[in-house]
Order: sequence, then C-alpha cells, then structure tokens
Amino acid sequence: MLGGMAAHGRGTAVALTVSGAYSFLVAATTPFTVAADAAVAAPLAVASVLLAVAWRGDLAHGGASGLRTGSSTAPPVALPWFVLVGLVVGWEVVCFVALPRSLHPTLSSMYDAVSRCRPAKAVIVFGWLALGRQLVRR
Amino acid sequence: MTWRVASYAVWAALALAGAGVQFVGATRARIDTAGRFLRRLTLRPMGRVLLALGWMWCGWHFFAR
Repeated sequence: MLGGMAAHGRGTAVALTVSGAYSFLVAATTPFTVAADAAVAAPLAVASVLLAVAWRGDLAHGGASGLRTGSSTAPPVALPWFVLVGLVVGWEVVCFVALPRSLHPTLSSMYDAVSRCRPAKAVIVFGWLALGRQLVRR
Repeated sequence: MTWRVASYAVWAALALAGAGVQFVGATRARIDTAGRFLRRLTLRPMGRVLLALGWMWCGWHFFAR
C-alpha cells in the first residue's frame, strides 16, 4: 500500500514537472505562429484521445460514476456557481459589445495584457492544463 | 468614476464572489466547491464533452490565436 502511494506521489510529481515545463514552452510561443499552433494542438490531441476513451468507458458502464459525497444529508447545491457563471458571461457580453476596449475590458483583453509577462502566461497555461486533466480523468 | 474603473471593479467583484463561494463550499459543505461543481457537470458524458470543447476553444483562443 505504501509502495502504491509512493508510486502515486512520483506520478503526480512527474505530471506536475512535465506540465510546468510544457507551460513555459507554450508561454514562450507567440500567438498566430506555427509554433503556438503546434504547442496548443498537442494537448488538444491528447485530450481528444483520452475523451474518446472515457466516452467509450462511460457508454460501457451506462454513464459516468456518480458524485459521491459520502453523506446521507442533502447534497451540496451548485446554484451559486451557475449564477456566477451566468454573471461572468453576461458581463463579458456587455463589455464585448461596448467600445472602446480600453474602457470596457473583456477577459481576452485582460489576458492579452497579463500574457505579456511570460511567467504569468505560463501560470495561466498551467491552470488550463490542470483543468483539462480534470475534465478527461475518470 | 470612469467606465474603465467601473468595468474593472465589476470583474474584481466577480472574482471575489467566486473566491467567496469557493471558501463557503470548502468550509460549510452545503455549497459545491469549484471542483465538486466541475465533477457534477462531467457526470454525464455529454456534459464532459461540452466542457472539454469549451476548454479546447479557450486554449486555442487564448494561446494560439
């Protein structure tokens, strides 16, 4: 059991190291270049394959495994997150249609400003990769 | 107050609200944390695929284009 935990810890460390290094690689590319296209396409391709495998597994098992809270009490509610996502999307749309952009920043324009700092961009890429890992894992 | 300040103030308020919901979810367990919310959305294969497509679009939009 301890050996399994150690192996899991090593796997996590390797995944973090590889993801961190890849984040800096992606951050070093410039958008609208072949290098940027290739650097972003690679994780998209990996995610597509893993999603296809997960999809087949879900179909074989009649759906994904349920959300286990380990409690007999009422399950936690997700409503605040739906409201928050709705507010973010709504404000993004308001800012998107309003001009000039300097007065009405969108998520994209704020990201453009932040991504001029390569380490900050690498952190964002790392977060994006971590989110993707959560989406494709079973 | 200029529109610029107001816009950033709303974005900051939304970020704070997200942090607040996450904090309440982590401490009270009556509200989903972001992780549990994500897991809830990916319970169904179609939800997982739609979220993954959104994730892919975000990566392409922000980092490649």
